[in-house]
Parts: sequence; C-alpha cells; structure tokens
Amino acid sequence: MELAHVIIQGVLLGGLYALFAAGLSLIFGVMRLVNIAHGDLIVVAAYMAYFTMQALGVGPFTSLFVVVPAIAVLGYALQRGLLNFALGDELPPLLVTFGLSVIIQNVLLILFTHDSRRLYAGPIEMASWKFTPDLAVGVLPVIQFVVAVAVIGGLQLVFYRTTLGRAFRATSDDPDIAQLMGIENRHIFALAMALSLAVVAVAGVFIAIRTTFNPFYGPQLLIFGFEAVIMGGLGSLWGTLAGGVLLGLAQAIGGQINVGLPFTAGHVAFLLVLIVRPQGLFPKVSV
Amino acid sequence: MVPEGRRLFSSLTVEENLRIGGQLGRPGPWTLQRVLELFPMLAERRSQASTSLSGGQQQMVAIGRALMSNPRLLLCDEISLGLAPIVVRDIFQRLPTIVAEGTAVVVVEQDVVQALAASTYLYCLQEGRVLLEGASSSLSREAIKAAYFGV
Repeated sequence: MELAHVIIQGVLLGGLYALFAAGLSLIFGVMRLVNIAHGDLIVVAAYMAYFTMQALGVGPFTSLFVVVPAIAVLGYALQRGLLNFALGDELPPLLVTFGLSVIIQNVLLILFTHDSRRLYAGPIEMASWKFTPDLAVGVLPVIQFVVAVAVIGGLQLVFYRTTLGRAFRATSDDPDIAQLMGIENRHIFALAMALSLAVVAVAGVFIAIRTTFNPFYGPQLLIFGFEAVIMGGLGSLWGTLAGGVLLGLAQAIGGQINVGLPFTAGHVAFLLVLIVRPQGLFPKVSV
Repeated sequence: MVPEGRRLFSSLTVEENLRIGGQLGRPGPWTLQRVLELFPMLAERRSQASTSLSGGQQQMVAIGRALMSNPRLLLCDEISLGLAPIVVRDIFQRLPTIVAEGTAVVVVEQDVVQALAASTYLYCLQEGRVLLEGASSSLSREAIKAAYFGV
C-alpha cells in the first residue's frame, strides 16, 4: 500500500511539473527560445494571484480569471517589446532571459520582501478520498493533475486544429517563408508567449497552494520544467506530460527512501534518461 | 511567390500548406477547391505530410500555396530545380490555366526549351544585365545560344 501511495503521489505531482514544462516547450517549439526567466514568471504569477485574492477577497482558483488574462497581456508585451529583438541566434535569447530572471527576482524582492508566502485554498487542501483504510488520495493533487492533462490536451488542440496553431507550426518550420505567406512572425511569437504565460499562471497558482514561495523560488522551478521537457522529448506536448510524470515519480520514490532525497532522485532520473535516451522519450523536433 | 527549392512547411500537411497561402483571405479565382482541381494528384494526398510527397508534387504544393493568395503576379523561381524532365513538362503545362485566370506569371528558368514554350515574352539575363529580350515566338534557340556564349 505504501508503494501504491508513493506512485500515485508521484504521478499527480508530475502533472504540476508538466504544466511548468508545457509553457517552456511551447516557446521553444515555436521560436527556439529557451526562456531562463520561465521559473521567475511562475513566481510572478503566484504573486499576482496572492494580491488578486487579497484585493477581491476570492480564492486562488477564482483569481485565475484575473491572473491568466493579465499575465497573457504581460507576455505579449514582453515578447513584442523585448524578446523579439533577441531572437535569431542561440545566445542572445539566453542572455536576455537570464538578465530578465535576475531583474524579476530583485524587483519582487524590493516590492514584496523576502517573506515566504502561500496561497490558501481553504478546506479543499486537506480533503482526500479514502479508497482503502490505508490508501487516501488528496483531492487537490487530483484536480491539479486533471487540470494539467486538460491544459496539455487544450494546447494540443490549439496546435493541430486551429488557424493559430497552423501559423505556430508554419513559423516554427520556416519563419522567412511564413512571413512571405503573410504571417506576421512578431505577432505570432507574442501570441505564443502569451499562451505560454497563461499556462504559467495556472502552474503558479497550483505550486503556491502546495508550497510556500518567495522571490528567489523561480530557478528551482525552471530546473524542474527543463528536466520534464528534456525527458519527454523536445517539441512533443504529450511527451512533456510523460516527462513531468517521470520526474514526479522519481522525486516521490526518492523522498520515500530518504526525506532529503527527492530532488536528487529527480536529477538522477533526468541524467539516466539523458544517458539512455538523449533525444527524450517522445521526441518530435529533429533539429 | 514560389521560392526556389519549394520550401514547404515540413510539419504541415498538404492541405495545411495550401491553406496557409490563402489565410490572408484576398478574394479572387483561386480557392482550395480550384487548386486541387488544377493539381488533382494533390487532392488524394491532401492530409499527408508535405515531406512525404515527391519533388514534383511538392512543387505543385508550392505553386498552389502561392496561388491561394490570389496574387496579381505569380513569381516562380526555378520550378525545374531537381525535378525529372517529364515532371517539369507536366507542371509547365498547367501554367496556361493559371494565366487564363488573369494572373501574370514570371518564371525564372534555366530550361530554355520549357521557358520558350511556356512564355510569351523572354529576357535573357547574365550577371544582372539583359542580353536579349523579345516575344518568345520571335526568338530562336540559336539567338539565345549566341547571346549567352557569343558563338
């Protein structure tokens, strides 16, 4: 029973990591941008949710109705105003987003101090379903996992069933020719960033309910996201989900062996995948 | 615009490639339906990945994609590049249909026989300068040869 419990926890946690990773994966897929500030933007989303909850007196999930559109607009502006100018080569986007990461952390520190905060979701945090006397599954992790699957399924639909998704894929294939066909690349890239940050907002709220956050929490989240993306295989959304689940599992099992071990176990699993299958589990991009 | 080397969107299907061309919604004679009538072999392959097509079929997609924007002027760069002569002839045979819809076509082509047969007016360029020009029917192959090689 103990083992079943660990596995279920790991898989459900993996949904959260998949959410981190889906945003990263989307940006990389469309414009080959590795967003080092991704984790910090998750933290920004968490702060936005925190203050929305205070201002409007609503719960964390309701706050998403404000945070998702707000951060999507921020993402669009960020891409058009800054990141579009860094694209084209490999190094500039890395440097620019790294700088952005440092700036975001310090601005958050100035504005909100180093105090750790959490989002309180109320009694649902403690609620669980008891399957057997020994086996109970938390309601919140299940919701989190279902939302993750729904978000990734939604992204998949957008990518393969809509005009916008077609433009995403065309721009990813060949930006010059896409432009010739009347696609405004800068606009498409900005929409991709907006979509990525909308996903980030959902991830940010879930993580902030689960654990406390402070202005310097971002880089750790970024690592989890990277590991999930790379384990899953670049460019494949369902692969990203699988990568997230694998990372969650490794951490849960590691934590079971020793309380201090979960993150190490996650990194070890990541390195093992890199050694055995460097292209990831379900690779799509052949670049 | 039909770029040299076709440059289709590799992760899109045939139909998606064509639709991308038409997404600006400029009105005109060319619709997905009409393009697939012009190149019937694409109709059977519309949901295949564009990379799974032969070179000639890919060239048809590239032309179709350009037509979908209903251009006043269709620019074709090196249609024959890397294609079998029979396929090149097949593609050139569709050009009159395109012109008949009121679209002007400019073809950059190294295959002089095809170029002469398909065009109404011809320019020979060398290093950016026009060496020879005239109605295609008035120019002999000897004159073109002389213009390029000076013999």
